[in-house]
Amino acid sequence: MIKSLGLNETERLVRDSVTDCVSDIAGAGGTARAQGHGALSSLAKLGVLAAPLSENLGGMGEGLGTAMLVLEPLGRKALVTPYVEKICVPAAVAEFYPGHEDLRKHLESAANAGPGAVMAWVEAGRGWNRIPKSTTARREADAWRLEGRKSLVRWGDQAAAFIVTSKVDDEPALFLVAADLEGVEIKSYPSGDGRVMSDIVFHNVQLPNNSRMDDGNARQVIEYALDAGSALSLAEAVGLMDGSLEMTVDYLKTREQFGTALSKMQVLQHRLVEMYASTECAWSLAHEAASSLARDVPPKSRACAVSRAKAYIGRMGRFVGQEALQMHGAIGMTEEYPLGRYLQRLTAIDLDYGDSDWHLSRLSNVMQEID
Amino acid sequence: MERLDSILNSHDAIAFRDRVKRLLVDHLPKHIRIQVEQEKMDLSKEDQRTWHKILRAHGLACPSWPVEYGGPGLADHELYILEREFALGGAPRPMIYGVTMLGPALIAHGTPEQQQRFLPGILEGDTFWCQGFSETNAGSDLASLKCAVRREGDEYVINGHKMWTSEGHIADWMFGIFRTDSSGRKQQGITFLLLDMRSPGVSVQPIQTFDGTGIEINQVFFDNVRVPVDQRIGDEGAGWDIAKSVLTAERFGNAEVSRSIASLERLKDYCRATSLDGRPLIQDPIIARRLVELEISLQAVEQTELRFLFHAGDELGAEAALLKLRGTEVQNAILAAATDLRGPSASLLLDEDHPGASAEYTSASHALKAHMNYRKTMIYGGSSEVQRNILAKGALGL
Ligand SMILES: Cc1cc2nc3c(=O)[nH]c(=O)nc-3n(C[C@H](O)[C@H](O)[C@H](O)COP(=O)(O)OP(=O)(O)OC[C@H]3O[C@@H](n4cnc5c(N)ncnc54)[C@H](O)[C@@H]3O)c2cc1C
Repeated sequence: MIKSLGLNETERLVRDSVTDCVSDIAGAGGTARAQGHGALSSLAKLGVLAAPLSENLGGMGEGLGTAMLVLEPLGRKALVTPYVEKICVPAAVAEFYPGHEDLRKHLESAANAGPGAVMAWVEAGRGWNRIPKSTTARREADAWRLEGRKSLVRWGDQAAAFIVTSKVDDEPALFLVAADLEGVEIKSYPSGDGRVMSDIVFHNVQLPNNSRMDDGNARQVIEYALDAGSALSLAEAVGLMDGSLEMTVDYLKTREQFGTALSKMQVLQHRLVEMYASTECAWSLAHEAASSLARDVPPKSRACAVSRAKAYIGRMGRFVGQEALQMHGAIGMTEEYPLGRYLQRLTAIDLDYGDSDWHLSRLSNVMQEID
Repeated sequence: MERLDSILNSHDAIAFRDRVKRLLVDHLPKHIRIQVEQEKMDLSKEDQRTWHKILRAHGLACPSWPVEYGGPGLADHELYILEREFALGGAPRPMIYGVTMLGPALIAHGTPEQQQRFLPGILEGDTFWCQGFSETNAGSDLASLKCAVRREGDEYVINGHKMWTSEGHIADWMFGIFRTDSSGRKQQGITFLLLDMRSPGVSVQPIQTFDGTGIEINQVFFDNVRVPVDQRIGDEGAGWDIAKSVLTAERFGNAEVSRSIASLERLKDYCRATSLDGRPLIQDPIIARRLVELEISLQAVEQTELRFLFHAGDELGAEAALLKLRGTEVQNAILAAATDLRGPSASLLLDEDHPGASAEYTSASHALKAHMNYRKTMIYGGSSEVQRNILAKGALGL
């Protein structure tokens, strides 16, 4: 119900082709996981998964923000996919290491709906802290040894490799670690929104010399990559918000109680309008956050744009999902009616890549710094 | 000014509280308590029955029933204490459809024969009841229900369906309201019937909810289902008022204040026991503040409930609706916080027996299930919007 997404002609074409491509899949039934996989396969055939990548990787070369054109339509249909984890975050890392051959191969694989690579960064007991502490790597002759564990790596079960944040001599570093190496142990768990998350243990894993990706700039790369993940997941969130709103408006137009369509009740109209206003504002902030991923934006400005959007949309997304459920009544509680999926996913997006509290604290810290 | 809860602190009240506490410590089965502490609302038939029979053995089953019908004959403040201690001690909710809803309606409106026939099954925990009120097109506007009944000699014959029937898949009997006459106002021509769920022509279609908690609600179809006339409560066409009395029977309980107090205590315990980067969550000022705000909202409902219950005299009417409105709001806010504060494990949703899942993951998963599942409390039993309508009319005279 958003009036204008503010896209240019080319962007509109891409977004419309994604919308057309996924609309049949969402209606076709099946589990959330199967639908998400189907959507990615079809989009891969269409060639749009690569959109946010650089031109030499088949992308549009317009920067990571282009991923919004894929994610917003996926969200609108509540299609849950590893797109952010396998394309957006690794692509953000690749912006710093364009020459890294293995990473490039994983991105190509992901752009063809293959296994790809995902970033492994969360450590047990440390919340959303981005800087690695308990995972360590040390040199051994002309190889590396990696020791430690990462918690609940999103989509870790299907990935061919992990971009692992690790400490080397007390400084953050980044390693690309193949999932099938000896000493890599993976245990997976389902989530409420249809994803799989994996605990990964690295038992003194021997890594080849070239597996270290960074040249001492890992902190900066980690911040950028996780900001990209945070920001771009919001395009999906706004799609979910607008999809929930549209579903609710349509439902209330047809649902009659007390001899009248519920949509005629002003008290409910006002609540729909609140959902609408939040959704419009959410898109604006998501847009700002995505465009702040351009490489010429100073890290501090980017961090603020991303955290503002993440905190706002995280909360408003859940507000919209919960209001949609309330106004549907009992039908919304059923598995068969799609709304529950929207609410689960909106909740999960708020509680990923740093929840609202985490991003608010980050903004507060910036505000307290003396310029 | 006297404290609103002074009645709960008399010598006798304290003795009663101790008795209830001891019963829980000595007799509440651990496997049942654990499920309650995981915020699971819908226990299996077996677990519900087990607990009910324990209560029966100790003279505390059907706590609100008068002595002459087999109840313990508790005073209002004792009922209040009982409910509070049950919640704090992790005891299940009562078997609501029989014990809380139908029992009192039978006592008020049933014939002596009907009371003798149906009350003992509820009292002993042997008969499981479900409530057949809502239909696909009769939700908030319940009086518009259509499920049709025609009289044939000494029997009624039902054709149609009921929707969202909780526990319909495990119930032995249903009490419900059906349309015997559609010529007058919609509140007229509604008849209250009791029926055996094994009657020929009854079929139950379970409905999965989206929250991962399994089967709780059902659609029930009636195809020429025959019900003897002596299973009608009240007169033909007089069912609406009986149904309304059933819906308001739990005027206070459905605010679930006691359950929320227990949930918030559990959340505080979790925040004391869990550390983030070495610091207990409860020492994080943002988290502490959120917990305090929840506590304030909850106290506001609790004190209002006490005032309405023990200090309002008989004048209390529509205002009681605000307890359900505010009570379920704060309940949902507490359960949302219980998910939010899990950090990266917040979105886990595991099967009951997921192999090798840690206690932390299992508990995060239960928190998410409850966070989603309890949204229903603002929809059923008169939605929040319906409560606001009641308040607008009844409390503000609009
Ligand atoms: C988990 C669960 C268990 C249930 N168990 C039972 C059971 O055992 N037996 C039984 O009979 N029923 C049961 N119900 C049904 C429940 O009573 C209905 O869901 C409830 O009455 C609302 O009806 P509805 O779902 O059709 O929503 P609708 O009436 O269609 O309402 C949709 C939305 O519109 C709002 N609305 C409706 N009218 C107005 C108005 N006039 N002004 C403002 N807003 C309005 C509602 O509040 C709601 O938000 C259950 C429901 C759930 C979710």
